Amino acid sequence: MIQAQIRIMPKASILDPQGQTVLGALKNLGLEGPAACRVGKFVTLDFPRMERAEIEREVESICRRLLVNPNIESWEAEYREFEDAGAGASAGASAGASAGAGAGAGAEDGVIQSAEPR
Amino acid sequence: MKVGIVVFPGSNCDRDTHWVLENLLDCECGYLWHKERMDRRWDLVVLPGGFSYGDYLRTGAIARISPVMQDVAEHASRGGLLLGICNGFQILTEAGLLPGALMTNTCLRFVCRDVMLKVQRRDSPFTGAVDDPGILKMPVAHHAGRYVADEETLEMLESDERILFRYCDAEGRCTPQANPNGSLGNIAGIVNARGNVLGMMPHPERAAHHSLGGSEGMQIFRSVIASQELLREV
Repeated sequence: MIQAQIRIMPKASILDPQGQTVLGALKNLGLEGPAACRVGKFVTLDFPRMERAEIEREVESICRRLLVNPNIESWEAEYREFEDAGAGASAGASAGASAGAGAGAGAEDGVIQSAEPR
Repeated sequence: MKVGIVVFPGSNCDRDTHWVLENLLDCECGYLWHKERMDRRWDLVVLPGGFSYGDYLRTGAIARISPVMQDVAEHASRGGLLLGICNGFQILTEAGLLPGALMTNTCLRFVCRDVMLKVQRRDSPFTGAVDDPGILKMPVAHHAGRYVADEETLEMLESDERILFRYCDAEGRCTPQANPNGSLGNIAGIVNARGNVLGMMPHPERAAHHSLGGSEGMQIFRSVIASQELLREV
């Protein structure tokens, strides 16, 4: 089973008052480290039967057609493999995929698929 | 005038709109359930306010793929009048029938109060019967009413005079203090290029009778009725 983990963020050009408020709250707690904060969404989709390349195409279509509004949001997806369906919810950390790679890596062996809004 | 009012799961201003248009303005009104197709022609189609699909994902994101929306888009492409109020405006932007998007208010709170609107032009079917000096009071009630668009779109809206309403103060000044939600350019309502599709965050149907605290929203509906009567005369 492959799980697509999709991160949706407000575009950099869009004011994110929620992120600003969280940042303010952190400062109130004396946590002065972060200089900026943005709040987005995280969506998981489980694909029990499809191949990776096919899943990536499907995720692209799902994001374009429903999950993401390209006027205000950008997204990227990671793909994690699990032994059986249902394990995904709790086993997110076990797959060992690294999220650090540059965005835009696309289909390759890279874990991250991303799309800048059109 | 025949008015079709679309009902999504979570719409909550459909009956108000129906009541105002039928009881106060003698229109022939019908509800259009979102899962059904539009089976007849309407002079005006209204996407009413509410919380369609619980505002899940983004406001209007799921409603815009309802079956009836295909017919709503067709109605608009034929030149039919289409009015999206509040959640209806959000659905119109998600459907791509109007540019830009509506995001969470800058203050992060649900804002429910009267606002003043400066009517930017009165040669549209939605504002032709607006009285001088073109300033209307009506309520907003939303959590996601902050209009955003990229710079290019904003310039286009300005130069094509597609901004129909801006938030203003009692004297008609569009100041930051008069802006209830952080909308760019104090934008409260815009039309499409053809001018037959209007999206607005304020609620004209909630300002339809003195017993509701004001009746200036009626000027919007009266404008639409007058524009249809003109069409018939032609």
